[in-house]
Amino acid sequence: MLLDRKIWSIASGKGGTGKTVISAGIAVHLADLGFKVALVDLDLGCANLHTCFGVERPKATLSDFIERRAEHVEEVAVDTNVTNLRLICGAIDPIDAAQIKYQQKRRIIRQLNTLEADLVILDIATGSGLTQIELFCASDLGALVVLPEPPSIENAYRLLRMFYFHQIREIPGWKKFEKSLGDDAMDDFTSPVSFLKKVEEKDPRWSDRIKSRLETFTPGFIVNMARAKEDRDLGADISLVCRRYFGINAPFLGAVEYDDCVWQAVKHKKPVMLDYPHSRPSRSIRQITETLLSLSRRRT
Amino acid sequence: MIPGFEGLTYYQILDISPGVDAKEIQDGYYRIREAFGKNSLASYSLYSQEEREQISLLLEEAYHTLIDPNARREYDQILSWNRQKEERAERLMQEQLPFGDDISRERQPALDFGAGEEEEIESRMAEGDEEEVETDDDLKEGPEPAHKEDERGPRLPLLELEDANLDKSDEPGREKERSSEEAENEEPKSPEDTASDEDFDEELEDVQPPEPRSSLERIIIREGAKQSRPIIRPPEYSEEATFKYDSMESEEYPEKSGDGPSCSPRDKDETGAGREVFEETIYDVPMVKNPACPLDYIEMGIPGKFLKEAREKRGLTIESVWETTRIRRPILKAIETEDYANLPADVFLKGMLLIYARFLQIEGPEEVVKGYMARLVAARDWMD
Repeated sequence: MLLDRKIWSIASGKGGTGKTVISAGIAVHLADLGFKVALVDLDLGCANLHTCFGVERPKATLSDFIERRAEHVEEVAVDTNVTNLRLICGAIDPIDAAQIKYQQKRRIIRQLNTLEADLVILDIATGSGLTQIELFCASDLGALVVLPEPPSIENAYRLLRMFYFHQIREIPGWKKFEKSLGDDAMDDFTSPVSFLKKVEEKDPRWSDRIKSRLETFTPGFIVNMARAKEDRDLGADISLVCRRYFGINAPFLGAVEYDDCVWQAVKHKKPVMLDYPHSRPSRSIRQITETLLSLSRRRT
Repeated sequence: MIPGFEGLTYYQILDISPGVDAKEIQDGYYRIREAFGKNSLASYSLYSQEEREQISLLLEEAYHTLIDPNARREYDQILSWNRQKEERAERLMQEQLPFGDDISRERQPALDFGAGEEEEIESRMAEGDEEEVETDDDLKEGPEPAHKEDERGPRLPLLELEDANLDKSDEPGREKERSSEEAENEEPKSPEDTASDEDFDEELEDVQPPEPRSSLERIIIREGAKQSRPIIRPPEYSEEATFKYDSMESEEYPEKSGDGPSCSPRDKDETGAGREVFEETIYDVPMVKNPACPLDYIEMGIPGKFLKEAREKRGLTIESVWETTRIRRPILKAIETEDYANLPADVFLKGMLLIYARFLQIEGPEEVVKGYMARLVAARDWMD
């Protein structure tokens, strides 16, 4: 089955939100459904996705590819015990692995697109570095994992803001136009909506351009470790707030319940989907995957 | 201005589409209140405390305007006026700029017609059918300052016109009247109408001049919403229980006099059987054994009828009250009809009354609980 959106990325503003567990879960379910999936650990400094699958020391990692020991990403993909699921492990050895050059980044993204798989899932590192932002924006579909607590949500919004302005900066010719806007146009306290208005006052053509660019920018939200009903409802609220504040469509993809089985599965070095397939978190992850699939099919 | 809330209609604020029913308005209200409320996690760090308070004010206005059928009708009318005005402006712009380029896309702050364009509208008006003439006329009046006079009396800036409309609760009716009047014969307006228009003119002399549409609309509607939303206060009631002994014989009960509350007799078939027994026993034995509905005969406290009236004033059904308060419908009905036998235990009843009164936005909900319970206690005392 062909999907419009091939590369999905999972990111989060704050560490420890469960990106890795969720992206592993999504990948396992997709493989289960019959898609050929490649799961890529893009936490270049602190890779640990392989541990989730019980791969102790991967034979090949992304650093082989980055340092050109391997010509193609295909060569560093390792098989897992799940059919249809291949793993591309993050760099382990080099100290400065997290700092990759722009050219290298472009090369990774380009090659991921040609990867022999129906779907590529990127587990993007925590943080708001340029690497993370560029990788997220380069993917076809993105999801932000948040916990139902203020620090996590605050960071997610910060990240979303960076994605937002990065999308705008990617539009050809923006730099030139930005200078004419003045210095404070993109500062911390301007809301995206009022920023857009400022642009519109200056040049309505640019605001149209931005709007059409942002139409395809629809990062989803996943609420992890939900313990109460209001935690699950939070997702819909976030979606609403994003629509007002950012003026973008940020769908709520679903909530994953808090459950000790996740922690057990991590200890067993297995994805929760395989270790506890009938647990509530597994069920929720399956649902989220379905939602993501429907979003991937919809476009054009 | 609050990011993302500028220039939204009340429907947009509540994130609902126009034409939805009361329940969906309520749902929308709760959804937005949850997302942008004081303790909301979702809007934390994007909106400041101050902005959230403003949102909450805006939300309250939107909700109370739309949940009230009268206020909502007026608001819908204003919206359609504004929409027509906008369409009209666009049409005019396009006619002027046949090769409409960037300029046509710029938003018009308000219609700022010169004298020539004014004539154009007049001629266009003559072409349109009668119904249209009315609306067009209203639209045209919008951006005009109030000095011009024609056969229709002084022209009102849009703000004043609308404000005036909102002053009068029967305005939609009046509008219709006026339009049908004109549809029949292009007579000058009745002196009454002209006079009232002039009144508004004087009254509203110091109102600020028309502003760009979106913020203007908000101001008008904010004022309008405040005026058209009725304030419901619990009635004054006597602490002392009086019983309608006399009226029991005649079946005809005295009508409510002054502001003291009273209970009207209920439908005969509803409590008819109970009342019969009641009447028999009261004259034979002073003890009342059958508690069918002693509340019907007590004149004190706040009756359930008051709550029913308050609910109807808000345009709510039992169903929608249940949707929100989750007080079961039979209990709500029992509270309103004072169905003595089916009321829950006092301790629950008090809580429910408080929730209900708060939900109906009665000023002083505690007073309602007190009045209602006093009535109940008096009835009970009397029976013992």
